[in-house]
Amino acid sequence: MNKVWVIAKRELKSYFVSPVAYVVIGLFLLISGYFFYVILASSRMAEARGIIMNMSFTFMLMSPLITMRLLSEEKKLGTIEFLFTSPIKVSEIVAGKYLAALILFLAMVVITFQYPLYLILFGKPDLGPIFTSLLGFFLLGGTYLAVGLFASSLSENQLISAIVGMVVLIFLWVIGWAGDLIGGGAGNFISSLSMMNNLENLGKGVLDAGNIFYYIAMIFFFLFITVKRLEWKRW
Amino acid sequence: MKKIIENIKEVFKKLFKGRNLKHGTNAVLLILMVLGIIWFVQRIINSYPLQYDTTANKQYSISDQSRKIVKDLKQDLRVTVFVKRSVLYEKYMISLLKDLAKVSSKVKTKIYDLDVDTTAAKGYNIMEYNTMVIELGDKRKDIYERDIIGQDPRRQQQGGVEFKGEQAIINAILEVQETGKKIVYFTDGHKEKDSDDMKTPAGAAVIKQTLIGDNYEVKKLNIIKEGKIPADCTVLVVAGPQQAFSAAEAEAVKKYLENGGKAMLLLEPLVNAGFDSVLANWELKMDNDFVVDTKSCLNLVMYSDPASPIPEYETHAITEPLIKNNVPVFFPSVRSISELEKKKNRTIVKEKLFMSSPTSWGETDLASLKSGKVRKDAADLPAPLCLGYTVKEIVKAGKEVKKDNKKETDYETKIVIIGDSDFISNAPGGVGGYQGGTELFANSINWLMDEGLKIAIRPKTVDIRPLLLTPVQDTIVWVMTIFVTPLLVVGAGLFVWWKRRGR
Amino acid sequence: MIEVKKLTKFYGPNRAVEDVSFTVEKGQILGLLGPNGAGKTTIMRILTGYFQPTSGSATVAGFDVVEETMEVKKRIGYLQEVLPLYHEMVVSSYLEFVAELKGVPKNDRKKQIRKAMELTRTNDVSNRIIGRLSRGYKQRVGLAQALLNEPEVLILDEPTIGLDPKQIIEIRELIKNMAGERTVILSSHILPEVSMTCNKVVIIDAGHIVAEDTQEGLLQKSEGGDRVSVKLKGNLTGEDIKKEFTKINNAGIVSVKNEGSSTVIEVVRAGSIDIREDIFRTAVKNDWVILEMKSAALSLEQVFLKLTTREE
Repeated sequence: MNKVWVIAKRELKSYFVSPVAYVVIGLFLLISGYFFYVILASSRMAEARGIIMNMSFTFMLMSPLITMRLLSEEKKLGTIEFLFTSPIKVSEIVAGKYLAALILFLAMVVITFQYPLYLILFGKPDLGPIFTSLLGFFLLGGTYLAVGLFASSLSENQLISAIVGMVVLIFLWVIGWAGDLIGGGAGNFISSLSMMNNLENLGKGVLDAGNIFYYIAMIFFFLFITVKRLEWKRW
Repeated sequence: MKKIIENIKEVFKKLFKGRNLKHGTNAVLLILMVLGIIWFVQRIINSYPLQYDTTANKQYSISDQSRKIVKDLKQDLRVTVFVKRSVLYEKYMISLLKDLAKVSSKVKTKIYDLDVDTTAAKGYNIMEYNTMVIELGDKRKDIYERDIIGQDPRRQQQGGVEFKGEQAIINAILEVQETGKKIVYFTDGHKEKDSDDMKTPAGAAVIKQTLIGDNYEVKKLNIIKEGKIPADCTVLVVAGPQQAFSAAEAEAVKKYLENGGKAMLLLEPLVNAGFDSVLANWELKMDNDFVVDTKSCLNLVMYSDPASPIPEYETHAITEPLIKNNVPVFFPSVRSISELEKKKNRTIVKEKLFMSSPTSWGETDLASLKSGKVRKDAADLPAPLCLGYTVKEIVKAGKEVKKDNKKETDYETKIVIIGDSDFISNAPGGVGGYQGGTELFANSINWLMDEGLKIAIRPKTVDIRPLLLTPVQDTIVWVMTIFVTPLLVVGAGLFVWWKRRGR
Repeated sequence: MIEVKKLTKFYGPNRAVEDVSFTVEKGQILGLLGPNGAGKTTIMRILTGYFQPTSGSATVAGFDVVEETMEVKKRIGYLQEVLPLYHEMVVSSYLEFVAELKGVPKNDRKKQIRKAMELTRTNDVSNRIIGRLSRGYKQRVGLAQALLNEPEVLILDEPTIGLDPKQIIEIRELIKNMAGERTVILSSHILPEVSMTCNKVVIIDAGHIVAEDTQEGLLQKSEGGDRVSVKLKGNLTGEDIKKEFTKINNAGIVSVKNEGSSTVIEVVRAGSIDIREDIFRTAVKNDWVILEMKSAALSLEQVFLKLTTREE
């Protein structure tokens, strides 16, 4: 655990001095801020649901830019060999990298807390759904990051990692529609794998153990295959 | 046994430890195993109702009332839904049924695609998309899409709809749980339309088949023989008697109705059926006329029949489906009905079903009908004339309640009165295969039967929290979200870059 | 301290290292010598736990590199060929990170970082961003990193590559100074580096060990003369002469060539015993007139070239 934090700390320092992180987060806040204002002005309702959906979609396209360098850069610079020959487990490396991205993301989420704050200050929102929406966004974003981290383990080219990450994320997003089209038991099963469909309950204010488990399982799974992927390369 | 466990332990040790772990094939195996475990756990979690509704009015939860009713199910409740794929209905229904199934394992659900699973649809005799069949034992109740999805006027802007699936299902459950058959009695002995006559156009066997199809039992009733209306009578139908009921018979009908009975009175013109006193009790009277309409009438290519007017529908639960589907109804030989003066101490709800068109009149010179020279004159009743009425009266449970009857709830007397009975015949006006009349009859029976929702559950409307920004607040929001926040982040980045530039 | 036994590594069907065995005693400096692509880096990567061997085994400080990788990793300092540097970091915070990663106790961290920086003379760049340092400084920071957590074993892959001569000398001195308390394995494709700093040399080519010797052995080789060249009078025909000289004890490869009116014979010594006397006796016995005899010392460089250049 200690070692995980060592990795995460260094990674955060890197983010801190990396222009990419500032640009991505700044751009994300600009887009989501715009959506928030426009949705609020047009719907005239103290709700978080619409903005959360938009934020989710926007961040889906931007999160690979945050995660792309995590492992690709190490591979390119050769520092991955240094990590692998240091007294630290591969799983700790992966967990540390993920933790760093998650903390960066959390910082971003904290900045977006201002949106519900305006709703509370100027209106009387139903707080339950707002809380679950934000939780849903956090879980969803966490899943994006895990997918992105995995994509980053595939190539030493950051651009390729980012593109692969986006493709996987878009795939996981749209299989919900595919499932709906197919229908029946198989369609249902496919739909249940969709990141979008699992956000529905949280978006409207229902905490469902199944949905929450879905995200945690997705995160775990992608981190797990990232570890396996890194180990496999060296056999 | 011990050995087996040891072996398994050994396998796991090998799988998780040492160099085997890093081997490609084992890694794939391990990944598959992890997927399997995740899938398994997810299934377990999904089979329990581990949900918490954080909304202020619990709008996404099944109410405690419904929960209790579903939990108390003694036998399997089979819910079969025939859907059109990928419309809102399917999505909503799947999640609702899933939630219900989590409440009780007695709920067995099946979802069919009406376009694909045609055999199943045929088995259930389902023709309409998004129809749900609720079955308990040998009882069955169909629920249609219109009973479930309604527009939520407050959310029009978002294209929002309102779902009443929970109410519909719960009430259907209550309905199928009710023991005892629903019996429709046709009075007999006054040359009424014969519900067993399949062969002649004037017979009424077609509607009998319809009723049987709707789970009713159809019986004939000779009031003189029985002396009263049987207690198991759900709906009494008086289908166009050609001879008058005796005063004793009429009195029996009146008694029955006063105790919360349901009746459908189809009274032909030119006949005194002996129901004047009965109708007068509910402030109605049959006009002694014969409605003629020169324009809006049965108008087939070969001949036009002014004696078969096509009335205009009034808005009513009975006529609504007919209006929606644009199905007209015509009455071969019909009389009009008018209201009597209101009695003071009673609240009787009278609603009109249909009115004759402006080109009609009620001919009072009945003799002229035979000569065929019908003409509108001062003595005739002017349009519009009401051709059908419904009556509703709440009868307070009180002295009239028999002692052995434990029911404490109020009775509801319900009557449908129409000045014609030919529309229920096998081929009204000589026109065979015509559905409008049958549908009107079936709707009327359903309306009479319908005791309203036995249980009222809040429809799942969306909790709307409006927020109107004042100009100042509006400015604060957009300046902060669109300008200040992103610029702060970019500014922080520039600051860090500036700090590091010399190192 | 380090024991390598029959180490073999395949990348798919391609052999990188085959059947490599050697040992390094505590405090020794071992030089892995070989041309590029010979398998030096592969051996080092196996020793550091980065790669798994296909077969064979290796122990570092008594721990198996496959089964007890973590224990091994705790005890080594590794300077890889591509420097393990995060370019956006400041030197001091980078070393801090490495110290934490290697589990240097908190109260010892500052002292160790200072010591490593002193040894590698990187004090004056401690606040600079690594990416903006010169190649020499980057190399030293890399070395400083390897010294953290006071490893028992130092594994240095091409530690002087890309440095200017002055820097090379500095780094060599540094490595020499560290021997004794630490065991060092360094790889190089340049001979002087190895001959000047190591007490034991393993020469590798195409994944095989072609020679293994201690520094004494190496010295002996360069002292005793390795190749004797004899000029005989007359144009003598080859086969006979060759056969005669090959009979000599400890004689290696014999080559014969005619030079005008004389014949030059070259005999490479295989063992460590002087063979000049035997050559003289052979000539006398056969009634060949020796015009000239000289002993050429075969430098390590020549041994290296000889061993690693396959005859086509």
